[in-house]
Amino acid sequence: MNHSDPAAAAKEILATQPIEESDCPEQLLQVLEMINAPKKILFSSGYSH
Amino acid sequence: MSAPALSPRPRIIDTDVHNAFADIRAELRPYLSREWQVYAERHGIVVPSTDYASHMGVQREDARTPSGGLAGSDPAFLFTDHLDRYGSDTAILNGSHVLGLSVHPDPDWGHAIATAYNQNLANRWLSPPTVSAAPSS
Repeated sequence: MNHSDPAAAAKEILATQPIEESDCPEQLLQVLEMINAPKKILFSSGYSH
Repeated sequence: MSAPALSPRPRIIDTDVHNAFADIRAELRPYLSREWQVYAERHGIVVPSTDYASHMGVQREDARTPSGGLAGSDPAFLFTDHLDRYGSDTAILNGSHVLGLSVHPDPDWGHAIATAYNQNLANRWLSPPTVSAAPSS
């Protein structure tokens, strides 16, 4: 992962478990939209955690 | 090349599933050399901690196996309790208890554990071959 290269970073996909939640769920949806979540975020349950 | 057959619904790949050991020493023992078996009996199998902690505990208590074992320690139960329940086709197994192996201070012992882990994983978890695994390094 090369954070000095924004173009490469923009192509990264990731999964996160757990994910921080907001008291205002709408804010999380806004962040997901900003980062183009459908193309960035992988489904990860973290089972058996 | 013909187009792949359309599945009735999108495939679900769960990229973070943690298989676990109910008893790591008993389960890895068959995959250790005699010398390392003696070592494990004397010293146990201790992997450096990654210091991921939770006041609730890391393994889910409500996902214990039917025999009361640690969550994630029974392949058949993991299939029914998690993959089948939510319709996941594929799981990437990221293991448990071994995330700190890469920084084990004894590289020979760490290598023996990693090898045993991978062989146990292949034999115990990768049949049927619908589960892919992240090898321990």
